[in-house]
Amino acid sequence: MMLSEQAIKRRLRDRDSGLAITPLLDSTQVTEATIDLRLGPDLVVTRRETGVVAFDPARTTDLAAEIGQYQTYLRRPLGSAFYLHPGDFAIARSLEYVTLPDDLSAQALGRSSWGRLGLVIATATTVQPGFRGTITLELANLGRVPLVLYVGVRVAQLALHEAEGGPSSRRFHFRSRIRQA
Amino acid sequence: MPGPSIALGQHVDRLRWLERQAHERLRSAEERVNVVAERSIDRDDTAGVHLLVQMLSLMLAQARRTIDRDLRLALERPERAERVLGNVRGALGMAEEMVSASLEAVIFPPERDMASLVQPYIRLARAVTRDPRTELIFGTMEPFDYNVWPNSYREIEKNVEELAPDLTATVADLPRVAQIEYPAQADADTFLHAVVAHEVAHLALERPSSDPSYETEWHAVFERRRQDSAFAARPQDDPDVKRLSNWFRELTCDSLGLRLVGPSFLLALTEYLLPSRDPNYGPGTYRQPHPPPAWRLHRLRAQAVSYFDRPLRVPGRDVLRLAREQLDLYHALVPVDEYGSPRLDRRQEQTEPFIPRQPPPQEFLDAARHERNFLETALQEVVDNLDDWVEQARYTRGTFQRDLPLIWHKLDQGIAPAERVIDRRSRRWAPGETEWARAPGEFELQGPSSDWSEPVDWRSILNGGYFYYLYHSSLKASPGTLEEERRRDRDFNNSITRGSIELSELHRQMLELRTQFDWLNDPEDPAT
Repeated sequence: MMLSEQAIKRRLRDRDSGLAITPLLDSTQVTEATIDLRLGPDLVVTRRETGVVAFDPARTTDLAAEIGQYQTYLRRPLGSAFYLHPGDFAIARSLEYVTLPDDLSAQALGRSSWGRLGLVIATATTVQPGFRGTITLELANLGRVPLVLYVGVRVAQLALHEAEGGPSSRRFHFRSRIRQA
Repeated sequence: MPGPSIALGQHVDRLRWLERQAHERLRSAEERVNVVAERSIDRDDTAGVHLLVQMLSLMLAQARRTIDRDLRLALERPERAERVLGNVRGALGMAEEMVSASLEAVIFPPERDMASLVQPYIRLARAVTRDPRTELIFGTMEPFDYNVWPNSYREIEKNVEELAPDLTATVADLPRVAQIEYPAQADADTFLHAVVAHEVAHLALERPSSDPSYETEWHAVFERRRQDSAFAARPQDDPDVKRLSNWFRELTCDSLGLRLVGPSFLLALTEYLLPSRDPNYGPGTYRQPHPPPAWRLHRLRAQAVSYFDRPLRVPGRDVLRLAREQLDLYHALVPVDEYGSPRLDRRQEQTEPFIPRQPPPQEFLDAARHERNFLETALQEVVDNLDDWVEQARYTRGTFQRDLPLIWHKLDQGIAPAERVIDRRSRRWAPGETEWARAPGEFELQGPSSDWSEPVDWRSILNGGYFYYLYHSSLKASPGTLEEERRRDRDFNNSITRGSIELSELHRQMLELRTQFDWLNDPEDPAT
């Protein structure tokens, strides 16, 4: 069952609920059934001219290290612009630190205002119960025009769902790899 | 013997060569400045770095004009060439030295352990110096030490008359930029950087003399007390008087540092001073500027404990007792003998064969004991007036006691303790909870607000995170606890603390610049 605005706010106000979206800079971020998330200050961009034919997990012992050679970490202050050109891909994180209790899961979704411009914000959308950290956003510009994203702009939304059955036997404990909170 | 025309030809060749070399050397210096300028864009202390590199660029441009003028003069007046060329060579050396010395600690930006603390410490520096234009630059150093250079323009000021006399007035009117140096080593982490408050305190003592200032009052207290002591007859430049003055300054900065960031300062100072990396003990330490470490830590204890006195009636106040216990446990590590050496630790045992440690000379200990009463009396007068001197900047007991339970509770739940939900409070969300007691002058209970939440004070996050880590670390500590596990725990708690400080700072920026950033809040969705 998806949580409504009132249910979300009730949980956020309850200091023992285990649900936290912090900092929530504006209460209007809680909409009818989702919570808007803002673009955080840390970005990882993949350089265009890598000279790499393919990233093939079958042909490399350390795919992450190989990919890392072609990525650049950027940090931008609040309100500054980041240009995402057509075809470009960047990894970002939400400004907010999210904590989910064991009885809630979430889905990270794009906002339709950005979707209409060609921005995809997430390719791995499910956030597991018990999650703690910032939400990783995989940004891709599928349009034909560069998009200007600003650190702090509302770029994604989180839909919360009740999860039945109690905590997982595998305790989920994740932190964003871009820059640890 | 060559005739005049041959000699003149050689003279011109020589000048041309020197001109080429001068341009190349200046270009190299300018390139170094430009590289730092380019790298400074993403730094958290970019404003201070920008001011410094801008001044260096102006100085180099002016130096280039001066050198070109001198070379032309040497060409036109061969009889004065040697003297003029001597000036040119001197100017080139000065310019290169100025750039090297100014940029030495600025080359690399602050890393994760310090980055989230940069803006908070800059705000603190502005408050204690009472100058809103004050900037700080942060740089790492190889020794495990903390240092402050109150004036980042010192090399520029040294050379401005020679290299760029036209800029003298500009340099005199520059905003203050100070430089804080901290250890580059991995053991230096966000918790330990509470020690930086001591360095910021130095800036309060060293404000310009034209400003009716804390330094005048501080120095007046020292001089007045000295005139009533056994040191009255000695001149001001007497080595013992200078050492006393340094000790007085350092002990004042300790007291002020604790006032600025709270009891975590004492925890961090204990961690910094006690282990064998303490730089204050070694040959020739009698006249070094810092007093015995154990004495410094013992005299701060009462001030730190005062943050736990008269507990406010806040929800969750039991954690104050748990935190106070950690303070006591840390203090138990300090040698009882206040003039004694730090106790041997495992690192010292390992390094003893190649870094021999020596106990302080007896004359050092005798001096410390003899001067103790004089210094303590003078310091008491300073401490009694500290709150007046640092009014806006101090971290209050009320804020500490109000915030610690909130932070503890959030950390227990794995939530980054970056904000306080006001909306919850205004709706009296927890029936039965008592109102917070009002502590006059400490903090005010806030009335209804339209904001959902407010950022937690970064010093509360630092204090809360540090005490929380120590408490849980002490619960786990046993002979079987691996060093690696302890390190991992510390790294995790550091991570959540600095991340929370970062979030709190972003929150604060959004609130302060609400109008400017209002467009970031546009919730309108063109979807129908």
